[in-house]
Amino acid sequence: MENLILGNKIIRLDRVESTNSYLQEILLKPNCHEGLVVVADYQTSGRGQRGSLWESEMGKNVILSFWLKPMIEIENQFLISKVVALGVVDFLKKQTTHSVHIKWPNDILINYKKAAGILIENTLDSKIINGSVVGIGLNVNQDSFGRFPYATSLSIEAKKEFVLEDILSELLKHIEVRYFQLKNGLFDKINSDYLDNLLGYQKVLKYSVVGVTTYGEIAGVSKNGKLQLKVNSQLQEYDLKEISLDFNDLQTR
Amino acid sequence: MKTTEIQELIKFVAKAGVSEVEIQDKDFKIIIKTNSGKKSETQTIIQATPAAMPIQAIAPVAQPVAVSAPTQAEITKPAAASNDAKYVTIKSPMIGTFYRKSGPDKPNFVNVGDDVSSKSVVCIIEAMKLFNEIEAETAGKIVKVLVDDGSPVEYDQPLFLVDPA
Repeated sequence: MENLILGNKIIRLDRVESTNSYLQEILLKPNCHEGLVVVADYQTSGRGQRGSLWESEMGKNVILSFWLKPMIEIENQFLISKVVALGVVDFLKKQTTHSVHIKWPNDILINYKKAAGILIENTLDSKIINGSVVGIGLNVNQDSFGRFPYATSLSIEAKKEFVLEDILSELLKHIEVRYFQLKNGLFDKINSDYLDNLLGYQKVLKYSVVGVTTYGEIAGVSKNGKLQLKVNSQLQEYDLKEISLDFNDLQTR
Repeated sequence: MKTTEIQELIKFVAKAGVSEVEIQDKDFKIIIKTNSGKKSETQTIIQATPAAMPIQAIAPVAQPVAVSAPTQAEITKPAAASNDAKYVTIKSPMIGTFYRKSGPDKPNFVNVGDDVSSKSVVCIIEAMKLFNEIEAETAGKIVKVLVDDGSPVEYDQPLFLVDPA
């Protein structure tokens, strides 16, 4: 692998509780370098958003975690989320002709269905983020998602099987490119590229806002990651817990 | 307090599902901690305090878990304003949601009475799926947890009081 940092060392596991937790544990030992990657065929308790589980069939998908040392101020933390999401999007756009979007804050959709999830855990030194454990679950060859009607995989959308090893190395390459934009302070580019790839940006979509059906268009994302939604020409800011996208309605558009 | 009374109390706390109870009387102080849901892991810390110690004003502690009314009256701790001055406050570096543990089935990072080093993780603040581990930054003993698990916190909001070592 010709990456400068990401994936220079890869730890491969058959099964693990959670790649993020595993990586966090081994980081306590010395001699761990930025860019260390942990991949697993199967996670027994993979974590999605707090409390929810990320389910994945054994050996079908890419489940990985890697370690970054962003050394950026805590107030810029959402940029880490953005560069990782953009790296995944850049990669997926080369694999499929279908639309690829970021669903705020950092889910990745192919053809309006969820194909990847990201979970980031930071450590702080005072107000500087000195470590980020980034977990990504990308559905690759899984061909059915049972009780999740709005989930998909690369294979379903591209109508072919993929070699997981190739996917892993390409994915890491694309994320690294975006990560270096962060390290080089290209915040404006990251922010504008994020919006360009954000589902619902300047487009009216149907949401549920604290249980109430609401049509709105995304005007932007605040510095701390909140969604800025224009509803009846009024700008509102929402937290993750307050708003959810109507996936059913999305499929009909 | 008799040994049998203490045993009864421990059993009661374990059953009630509360994570931490601290009781102080004029000549003793008892702190009972449970790992949520795991009754077998109840630990008890009993500290004898000098009998001559003045009786401090008591104030009820907000408990996130509902317990029956008579028990709540027993759950008291000193509200010693003069003492708080020597304590170091751990503040939130960001807006987000405060979590005392890494997952619903995990133990708290720290409890009242725990010794922490400057590198000890005391909580997680989450915002938009970014989870930030907050370190104590001061070595000492946790004397107060100021925010309930799962509550929203503001920038610079005090989270813990630490008695510096």
